[in-house]
Amino acid sequence: MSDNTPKMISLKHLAKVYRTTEVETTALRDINLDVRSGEFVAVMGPSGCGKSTFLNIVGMLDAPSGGEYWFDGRNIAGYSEAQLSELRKSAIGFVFQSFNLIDELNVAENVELALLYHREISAAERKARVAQALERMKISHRARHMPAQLSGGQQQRVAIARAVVARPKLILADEPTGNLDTANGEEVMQLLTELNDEGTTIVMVTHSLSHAEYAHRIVNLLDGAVVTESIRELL
Amino acid sequence: MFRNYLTIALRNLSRHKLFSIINIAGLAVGLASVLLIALFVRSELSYDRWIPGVAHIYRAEVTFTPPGRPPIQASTAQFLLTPAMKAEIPEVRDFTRLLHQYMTIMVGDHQFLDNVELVDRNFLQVFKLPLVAGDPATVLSQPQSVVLSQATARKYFGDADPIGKIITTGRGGCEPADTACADSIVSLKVTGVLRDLPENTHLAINLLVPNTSLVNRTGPKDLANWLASNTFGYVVLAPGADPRAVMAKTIPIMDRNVDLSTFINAKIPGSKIAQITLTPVVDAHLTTDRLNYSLKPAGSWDTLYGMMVVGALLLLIACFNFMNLATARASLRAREISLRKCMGATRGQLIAQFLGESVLMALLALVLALALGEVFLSLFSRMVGRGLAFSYVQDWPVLLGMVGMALLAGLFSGLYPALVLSGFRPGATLRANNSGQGGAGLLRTVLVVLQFAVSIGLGIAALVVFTQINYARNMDMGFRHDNIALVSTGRMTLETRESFMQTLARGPGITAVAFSSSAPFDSSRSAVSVQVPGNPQFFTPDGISVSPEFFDLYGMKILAGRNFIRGRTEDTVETSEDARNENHHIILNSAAARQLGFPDDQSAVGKTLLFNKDHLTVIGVVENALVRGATVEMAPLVYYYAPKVNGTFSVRLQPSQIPAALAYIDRTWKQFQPIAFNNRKFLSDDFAKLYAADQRQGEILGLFVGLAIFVASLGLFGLAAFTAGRRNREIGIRKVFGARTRDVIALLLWQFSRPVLVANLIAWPVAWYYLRGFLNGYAYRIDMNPLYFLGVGLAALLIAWITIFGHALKVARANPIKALRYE
Repeated sequence: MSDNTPKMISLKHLAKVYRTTEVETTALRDINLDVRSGEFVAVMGPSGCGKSTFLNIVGMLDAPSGGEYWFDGRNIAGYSEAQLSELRKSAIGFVFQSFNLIDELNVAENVELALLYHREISAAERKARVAQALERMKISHRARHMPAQLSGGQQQRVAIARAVVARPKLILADEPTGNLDTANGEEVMQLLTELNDEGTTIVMVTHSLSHAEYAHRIVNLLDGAVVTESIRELL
Repeated sequence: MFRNYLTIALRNLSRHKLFSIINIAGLAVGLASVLLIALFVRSELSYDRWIPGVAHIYRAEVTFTPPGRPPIQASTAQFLLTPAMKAEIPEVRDFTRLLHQYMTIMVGDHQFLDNVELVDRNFLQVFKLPLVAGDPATVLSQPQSVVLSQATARKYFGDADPIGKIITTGRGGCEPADTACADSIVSLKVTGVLRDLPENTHLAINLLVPNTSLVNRTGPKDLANWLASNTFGYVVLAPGADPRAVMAKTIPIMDRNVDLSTFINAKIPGSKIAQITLTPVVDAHLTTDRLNYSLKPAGSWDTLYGMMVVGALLLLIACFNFMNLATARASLRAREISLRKCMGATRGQLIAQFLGESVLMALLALVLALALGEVFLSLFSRMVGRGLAFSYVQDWPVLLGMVGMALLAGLFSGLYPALVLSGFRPGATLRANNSGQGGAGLLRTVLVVLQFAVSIGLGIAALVVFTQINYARNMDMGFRHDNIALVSTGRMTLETRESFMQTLARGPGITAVAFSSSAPFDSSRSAVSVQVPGNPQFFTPDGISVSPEFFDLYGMKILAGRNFIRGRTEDTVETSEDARNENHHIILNSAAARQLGFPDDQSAVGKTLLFNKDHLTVIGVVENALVRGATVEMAPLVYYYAPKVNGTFSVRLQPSQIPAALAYIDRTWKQFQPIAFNNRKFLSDDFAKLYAADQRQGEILGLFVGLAIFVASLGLFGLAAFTAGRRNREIGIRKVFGARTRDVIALLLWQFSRPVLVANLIAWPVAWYYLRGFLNGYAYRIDMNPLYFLGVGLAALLIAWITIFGHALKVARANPIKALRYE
């Protein structure tokens, strides 16, 4: 990955402090990190190190309390919730540890959800893109099933289909293999690698070193700060 | 064990305050409504039952069926009927009669206008009403005696002992020309004091005077008239006698006495013209038609049933709330239940625990309901127009009923949740985060649908009732009834009356004065029989005597021909029996002209009609007027000008000068009638009374609609809080994938809109069916406009939205991360 590749994410002195009346908790302090377009970055660290806060801020689900967050050349630290929501739905896809599929919707409907709030996409095109995404995740035959009828691996494939169906530039994966057995975990990592090979930027939080090794770069967090960055080639 | 249950129950109550408040408040409102309605129903059903021996007393009521018009059903009968029944029918053991009159009573220097009941001397022996002073057997034996109610005695004499005191009033039953009689004063001696009657009797008594007294306003001719129903007549039947057999035995009495031949040239058997019905006195209150004559406002079975249904529906709504919220809460209790099962609780024990909890809640609601009932009892009493009372000690059966109802409501409401909760499998609930219960969800939706269906149905009913009353009130009745004062002629002679009229007409702010035998909206009426010469068919339209100023004063247009002209003898008629009116003149209304077969108004003018033996000529046709209000079809009317007949002055006032005009009327009255009470009133007040009963019904309906919607909304509010909470995770996911706050709000609003929309589909046909019946009671009625239905449906939707909007907003605005991580 050359230094000339444009930066997708650039965090400068990023901080996050949670305040309640009694306690002030620093979740992130002085994070400086760049992610270039097309990169695959794994974030690791012990429980409570701030991984999830980091991912939430990068995913625009939470606002930093200090510092700058440049996304695609724009500092979005001061964006309103509506602006963030707009940016998020077009640019970012999410994959969660617990899949977070909606129990009351079937597989196809769950995937379609990611397109539902894009008013410019017609119903016919939505159908086509959902079918395509399901095909790609090899889960088409389960399109009419409810999430509860699927295995964990299948559910996570649906969740990935949902994350990619809106064709985001960035996929944020929060321990995507945490609830899966080895075989299914490997399969999910393969899928993410494929997506990355096609140009999608991926930031993944994980506990598993073997899965982190699929990434180009591993960022280690400890007590809310970046302690090491390692490039895969060097490991 | 029990202590543990109680601890858990109470802690649950305080921990889930919102649910507890909604549950208890909803049920309390339902129970309080049932309490109020129960008190009303009990009061309506208790009318007259407390009078000793009342089971054998019947009220004789006559229905007149004159040829050529629908039957006229009365709550009264002929004065001579009941004595004839006692003389001829062995089952009739006794009779007593009551004539209801108004009199100016003078006590020292004070004047009072009071209702006076002229009764047979045995009245207090038939109706064993309690006397505070005096002997029921003798208090009425002297003709010039009077029994006062406690309240009237206090009004007349303060705290002084009224026995032996004298009150005076004018003499009654005088011939119109007999000025000496009309000016004489009669003294009545107070011989007894009647305990004030309770609310629940159809009798209303201020003064009781023997009907043999000189003060009796009904003259001997009217008393002997078998074609007039002017008397409340009561008969006492022998124990075991069949009232229907007694009714049948009145047929020969009718045949012998009721005779139309002085009015029409035909022989019709009396029993074909007048039929007697015996109504048990205990039923009198609820069976007296609202258009009929009664001593006080009558009740009706329809209202009673309506109230019971509304009460039951409200209680049902409250119970639905209870069930709904309890099942919704089930998932929160899943862990407790599973643990109890692991510790060895049987299903029966769990059912008992949860039923116990809901009964505890219901009893708390009962306490609140009793408090609410006491607070709102006086308001409700005013609305239903009855003096309702509730005492915990005396009314223990009602109290017991309420406790029973609360227990039942608690058990009924707790049954489903108890069965569902106790049926959880411990393994499943301990393992999973979510207790997935599709069945309960469906039940909840069904209950919400039913709650809203009831609310919407009642809402439509209230809207239609109010619109109809408003329509009736504002419809063009064919005459102007605003700014008119009515003054009864009292006992004026013809000359006094004419001079009184002329003096009034000169007064300030008075634009016109007319005179007529009865005023518009008056319940009394008299029929005349008419024949078209050459046609054997009889018609019996209502007849009314009017002075020539009448039509102009009421703004009624003469459509053809001319008005009566003052001073022309041939424009007047004499109504005494031996008078001849050959070739004198009358005026018809349009409806009468049509009924008599004239194709248009003009063609009736100049035609001769046969009134008994007299030929009268139609000189004019006047436009139709709804003088009996919108409930009665436009009636054919014959107008004649009978100067000697007493009645009512109508005085048209200038709106800007009403106080001056009224003062002038009162001064003039004092000058002409120094000793008689001036009973001036506004026609608009009589007009308002026409719809008072419906108005009251509408208001009561409105009250319960409000309560129903309140309780249903409470339920929806609780359910929304619960459901919105349950959907947190889903909403979080939607937000992560780009849903905006408003998308989420729309989603939640739609979720709660669906049951309301379905509720409309249930409520509409039911409301339509029942309201058609209500509207059919009006001859002139509004169309059942679909907008009423849509409007109420929309209002319900709006209320639902407002109710849940807060929750929706809270959930929609919440940061999705929390929902996704801490589910």
